[in-house]
Amino acid sequence: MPGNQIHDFNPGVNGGTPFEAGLFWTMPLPPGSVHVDMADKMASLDVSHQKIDDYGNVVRALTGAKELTRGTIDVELAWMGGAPANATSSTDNFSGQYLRGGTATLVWSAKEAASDAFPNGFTFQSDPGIADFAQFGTEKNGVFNS
Amino acid sequence: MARGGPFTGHAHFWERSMSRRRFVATSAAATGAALTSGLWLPILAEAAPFNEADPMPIPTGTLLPFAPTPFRFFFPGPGHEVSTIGDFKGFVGVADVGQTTGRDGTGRSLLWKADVRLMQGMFVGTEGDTRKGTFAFV
Repeated sequence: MPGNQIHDFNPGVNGGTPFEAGLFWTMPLPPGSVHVDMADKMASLDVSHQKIDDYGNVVRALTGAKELTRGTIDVELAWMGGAPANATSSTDNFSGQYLRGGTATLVWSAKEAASDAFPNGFTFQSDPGIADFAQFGTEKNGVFNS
Repeated sequence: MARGGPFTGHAHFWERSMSRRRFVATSAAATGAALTSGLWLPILAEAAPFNEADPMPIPTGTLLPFAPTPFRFFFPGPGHEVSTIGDFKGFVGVADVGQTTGRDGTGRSLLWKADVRLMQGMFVGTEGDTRKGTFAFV
């Protein structure tokens, strides 16, 4: 399956030495991108025209290769429902209280201008994807978990 | 929609086959129509770049076969930490979507997978001050 991968969108690994020790595939968003209503067991993430790198495939992305090009993505992700669940680890120093096992539906699209890697540019529109695993809630770690 | 054609995905590498990223794959090269970047990118909303208030990664993570030290994330699942940000307190969400269909600009069916997360709350930045922020793992 990875062998015929042609695009891999992620924001890269930020500032780690060694490479794998950096902040992993995490990017800042405007605060209004997220809406949460725990009482009604709903949450959503809406991202519009977010710049993102395209590494072509995940092997390149995980071995420190330079991105092939840059594009934008739109993401609509909605969580709904679930049953209360907890997780805690003294080894990893975190704890969380979640709603787990509800539904999460993801729709996303991508756009890239023509580039050396993709001379014809690229656009993609997903069909709705239903999560195999979904949970949302609160979590704390490190100094906040003591 | 037909499956089994060109592949677009994000697999659960190493753990459940390998990718954990949204990825788009196919057996042939992408053949989207050539259009100008201006047409493709009409409005670019770029979040504030990382700077002196960078969040820090979690101190532990997942050891992958080719790297000597762990990547700072955990695969999604019961009992696994969602956040990729260390010294964090706030709201999190994760959705791990398996093989799903979609179409490129030519109408060709592609397959994709994705692990998308959000984190919104307080974190201690690299300079030691506590900040508020909203982040996505994409």
